[in-house]
Amino acid sequence: MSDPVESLAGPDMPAQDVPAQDVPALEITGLRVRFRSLDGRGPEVLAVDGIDLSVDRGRVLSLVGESGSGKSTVLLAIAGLLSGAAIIEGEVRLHGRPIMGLAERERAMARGRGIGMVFQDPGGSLNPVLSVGSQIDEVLGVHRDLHGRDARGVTEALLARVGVGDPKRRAQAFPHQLSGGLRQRAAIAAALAAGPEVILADEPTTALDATVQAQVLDLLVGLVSDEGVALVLVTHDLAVAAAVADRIAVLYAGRVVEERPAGELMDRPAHPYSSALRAAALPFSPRVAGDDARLPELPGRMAAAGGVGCAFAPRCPLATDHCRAVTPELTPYGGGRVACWRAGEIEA
Amino acid sequence: MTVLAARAIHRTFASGDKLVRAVDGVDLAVATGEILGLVGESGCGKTTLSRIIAGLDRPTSGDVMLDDQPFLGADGAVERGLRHRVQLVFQDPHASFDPRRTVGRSVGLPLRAGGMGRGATRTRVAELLESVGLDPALAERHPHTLSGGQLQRAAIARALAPRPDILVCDEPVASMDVSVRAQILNLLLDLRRERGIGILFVSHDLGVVRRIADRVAVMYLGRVVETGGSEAVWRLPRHPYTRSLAASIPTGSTTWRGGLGAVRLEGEPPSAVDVPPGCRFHPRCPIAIERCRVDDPVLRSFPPDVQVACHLAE
Amino acid sequence: MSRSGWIGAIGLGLLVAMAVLAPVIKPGDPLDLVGRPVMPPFTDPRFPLGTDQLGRDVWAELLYGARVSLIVGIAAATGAIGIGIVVGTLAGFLGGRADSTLMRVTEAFQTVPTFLLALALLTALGSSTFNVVLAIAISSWAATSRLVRAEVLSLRQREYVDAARLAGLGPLRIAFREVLPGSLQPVIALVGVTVGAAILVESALAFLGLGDPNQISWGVMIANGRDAIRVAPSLVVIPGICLALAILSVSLIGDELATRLAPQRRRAP
Repeated sequence: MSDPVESLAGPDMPAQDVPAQDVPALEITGLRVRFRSLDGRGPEVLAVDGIDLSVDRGRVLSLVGESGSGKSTVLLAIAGLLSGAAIIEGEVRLHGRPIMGLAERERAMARGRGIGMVFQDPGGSLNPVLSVGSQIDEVLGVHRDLHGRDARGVTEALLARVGVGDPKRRAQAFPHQLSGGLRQRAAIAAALAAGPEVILADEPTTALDATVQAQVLDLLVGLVSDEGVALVLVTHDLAVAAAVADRIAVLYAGRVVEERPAGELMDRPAHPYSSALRAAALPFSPRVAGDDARLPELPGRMAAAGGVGCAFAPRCPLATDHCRAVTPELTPYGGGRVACWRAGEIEA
Repeated sequence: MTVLAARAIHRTFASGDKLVRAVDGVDLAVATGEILGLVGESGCGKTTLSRIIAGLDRPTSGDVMLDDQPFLGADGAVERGLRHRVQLVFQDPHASFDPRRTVGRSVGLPLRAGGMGRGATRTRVAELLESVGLDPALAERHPHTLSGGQLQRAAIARALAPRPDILVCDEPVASMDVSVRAQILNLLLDLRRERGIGILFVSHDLGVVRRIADRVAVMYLGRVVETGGSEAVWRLPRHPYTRSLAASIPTGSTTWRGGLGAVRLEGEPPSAVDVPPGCRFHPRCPIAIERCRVDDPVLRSFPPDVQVACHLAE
Repeated sequence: MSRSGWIGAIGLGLLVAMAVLAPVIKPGDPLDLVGRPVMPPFTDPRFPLGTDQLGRDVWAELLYGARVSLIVGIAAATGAIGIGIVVGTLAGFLGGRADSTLMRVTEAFQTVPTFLLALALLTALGSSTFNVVLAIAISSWAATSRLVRAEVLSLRQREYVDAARLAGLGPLRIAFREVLPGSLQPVIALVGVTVGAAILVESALAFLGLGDPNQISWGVMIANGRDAIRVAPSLVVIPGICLALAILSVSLIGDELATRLAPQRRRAP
């Protein structure tokens, strides 16, 4: 039996969708997201303040940040899942093909086929009243014109591919009958069903136990290397990002403050905020014998996006008047980019 | 000096016609100024156990002792006059505060229940909030107007109000941003140093436990499978389950997954409804032998201060 | 406030005004025979709504009848809701055997139609305003009780209730001071309905001659007017309309309260 997952981007795809080799699988440029206030009268809130990112086939990009950094908003904006209160500017390209300019229907179709989405809570993305299998069948029907027994065969193969044992039986199960880890695997299978080139994953292992988290991270990395999809992984845990990502983008107050190869960033973070995140990631602050084993703290709270000067300046040990007055732009640094007037000066 | 000791705690629930053995014979002890980390995955019974120790749930059998006196009476209820000595900090501070009441009112509730007057309570609440690093003016606010980190501090202030000897913290930093997490953990570390409070720190996050606990107890399906000094256990985990858990913590290294190799666990914890015979870990154990299928291992001591329930530990 | 809320408020305001101002507008006993029998309304300025078969002033009867409707309605509903809250809270909070016993009792009360039960109770107790209130309260608390129990059941699992236990509060204090206040919101939606139903039951009992014989009430007026319905339909229609408007007003007010309190309004810091 041929592996149906291998043929996900296969011959049933229209010719213009065949990926060119030299363009990134996903490219976003100048992404800005503002939210209108609920009653329409209050001020708009800026959540994402001009972000450029790209990820190639077979690569993992991780967006890391704390609440308020805008990392999840970026993901939802790419996936087209933000509510009507959001005003989105900028361009999203799937294999070089701009999708923001498309008519709504086409855009939805392009996203549905080109992007698979995995959420923190797999219960939230799976319909509780439909069996896991029938939900995957449905995606196959819409995007790959597979129906009935054909669809179910592919569904079972997909479930097997994501490590669900006994896929025939599990396909008939309802989401609540599966454990958290199996539900997340099923959700990943559903995200793969349309044969996407890009998978967006929002904290996919945060709700899982440690041993299961390791399994699911393995699975995601395996899909990237075997199927050649591009993965964008949003996480608050720098250690998780380091474990799976090729490149890491650190977000702060709606901007990318550092974007570099994972190993480089973990070894020598150039931005003071990356450095603080790394220190707060527990493996980097090993316990010292004795009572005085306090953890390094980062005082203060994240500023709102769109202010004057560097948003991190109020919490930054290196901040100068210049930092407070002029917002630093991303500039090349090492194998990536950093937005800091004093890049590289922080002690790692 | 041991303040709190739990002995042979069992807790079973009826689920339909089946029996769930949520806690299946656990002994624990917490000393003055000590942090005991209780770790395990969801469904291992750690939350049930922590609720029993805090007197919120009654054990099916077993004793909880405070300074060698029974903390729980024969009927499993907290003995009169001892209630204040063990306090609990919940995982979600927004759920553990009455949304209709001010923060100050909730923090002062243990004091009012103890018969303190209105004015004295107000003063004491201000002191308590200050002691956890909060502006006393927050007492007048409602819970939803505080951030998660602020409210968790208030929850710790509330737990400190009756001057407890033992603080049970059930996942107190789960779902918090790393910078807030560090602040809360440091607060707990300060409390045990400055006040000598013993802390039972319950968490599924081994990284956190490893960082702040003095001793650790690893639970699997209602039992403690390995316990001992934190450094000794993490440095040389003897139980295969502990080894897998330890290996599951991302190290921050880009090569971490590659090193996971043989200790990577397959499958997920079975439910406490169907506890396997013999060693309860054997169906997932990478090194199980025939004896493990039939013979339930008991905790054996290893130097310096570790106990392991595994036939193959050495 | 919504338009229906305003209508309810105006209706209830008129009802209260009638009840309170009755002795001012029409001093003396409304049961006095003051004029010619069966005078139609709007014919004699002394009796704007005419007189009944015995020559009593219908306007005066209506004013004093409002007192009975209002007092009995509110008192009986208060009693019913009070019983319901206590039973529901105890059942929900204590759980186990206490819960199943209390809920069996509640079901027993709920299966017997309210009116029949009130009728039977009143027959046994004898007619007086107090007994009418008691009978209506005893026969209509079950719905409140079930509602409160359901709320308490969900609330008592909350961690803030555990926090109250850790604080050392006793179980009754936790049940009534910590859990109950949070569960009252849906009860407010029931207040309008319960008061309206109590007013209706009171009228029906009075109609059957089981009300306090020394008190005029709208139910008694309808009962009396029935004999003359062909010659003087206004004797039935006027108290009937008042009754309908009173019940409508309290339900509209109840709805308004419920919607206003429903999304628990946040207090700004």
